Amino acid sequence: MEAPVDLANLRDMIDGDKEMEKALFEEFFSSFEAGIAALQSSSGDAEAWRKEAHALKGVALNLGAQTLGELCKNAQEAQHDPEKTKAAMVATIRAEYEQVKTFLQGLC
Amino acid sequence: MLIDIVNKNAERALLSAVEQSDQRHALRGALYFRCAKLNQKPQEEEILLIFRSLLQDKKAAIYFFHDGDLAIAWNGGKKSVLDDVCKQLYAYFHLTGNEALHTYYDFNAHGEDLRLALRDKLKSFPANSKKPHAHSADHPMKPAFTDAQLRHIKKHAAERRTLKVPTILIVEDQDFSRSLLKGMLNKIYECYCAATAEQAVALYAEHIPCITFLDIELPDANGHDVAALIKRHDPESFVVMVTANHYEKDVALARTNKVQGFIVKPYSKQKIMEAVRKFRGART
Repeated sequence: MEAPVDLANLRDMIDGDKEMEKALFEEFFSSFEAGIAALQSSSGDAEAWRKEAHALKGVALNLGAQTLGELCKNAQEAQHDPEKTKAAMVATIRAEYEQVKTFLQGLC
Repeated sequence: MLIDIVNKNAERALLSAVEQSDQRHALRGALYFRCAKLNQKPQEEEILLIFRSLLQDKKAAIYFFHDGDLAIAWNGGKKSVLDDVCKQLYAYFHLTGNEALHTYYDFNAHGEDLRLALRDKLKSFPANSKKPHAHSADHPMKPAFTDAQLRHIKKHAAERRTLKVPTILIVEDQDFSRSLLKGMLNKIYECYCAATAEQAVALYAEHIPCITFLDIELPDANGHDVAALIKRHDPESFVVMVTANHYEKDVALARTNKVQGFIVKPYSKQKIMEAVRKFRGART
């Protein structure tokens, strides 16, 4: 199975500093979990939804989680979709995030 | 155990805690206290002092919300703890306890009720809930330097030319992305970090950095407005816009503002170092 994250770019940026990598993973977990909750809570507000999805997209891409980033990009572009559709998107993002989290935790 | 103090994004942080309540060592419930009605803002240090001893053997967190309300969450336990927490809060606000300002939410039994309450709270602060701030994207600040800041920039801007190692300002509202960029750059360069436009303007005026990496979507203003301000008052500035979008309108605005670079996320060492090399090239 393909890894949900490609850490080559991130590791290149921090010169393979393991301690920093671990700290960044922790920051990613807290940022992303709060971000998912915020996305879920903003499903009734198109602009707030777009902003939250945009923020999550940037974080996912900077981590190297391409699929997660794509899901967030889709969400960003679906700002005017019905709340039911958005709820399904949040569930999909959350599921992918859990895969990413499990993968990263397995590295620590 | 240490008590976590959450005074930024508290609504979202508590939402996240509710979501994680089925995990080991998680918070199990929260006492929500509607003290905003009292027009008496709880002081963090005082509240922490009270509850540090009361919840010393527990995992606990205190959430200070934007509107002045607060919530105290811990990992469950005896009802007597809840009674004590309640009693202390009413006493802190010099109330009798008959005012009915509190609600206890067990995350398993009443998690959905708390989620709804928090989402309502977020809706009432849609713009500034992301970052506690006087400004927001819906009511954006107009980035501006004060007269004193302008004098400072004018007086000291030329000193940058004598620096052997460039100084860098990173303006990025996402903690993870900011840490990543800082982690890469601050081994070599002196870095300053801002999460909002307001912080960016203040740090820029104070340090007059050689290079500014400037995110476009900021919680309190548009990064293009910050860039325009910097370019207007500091012609020798070197500004690189960063964004997760690649919209034509952003590229066009960047050109209008005559910034020196435009980086689309994800960040990479190559993209960032290319910008630094461009800066060095422009200085020689």
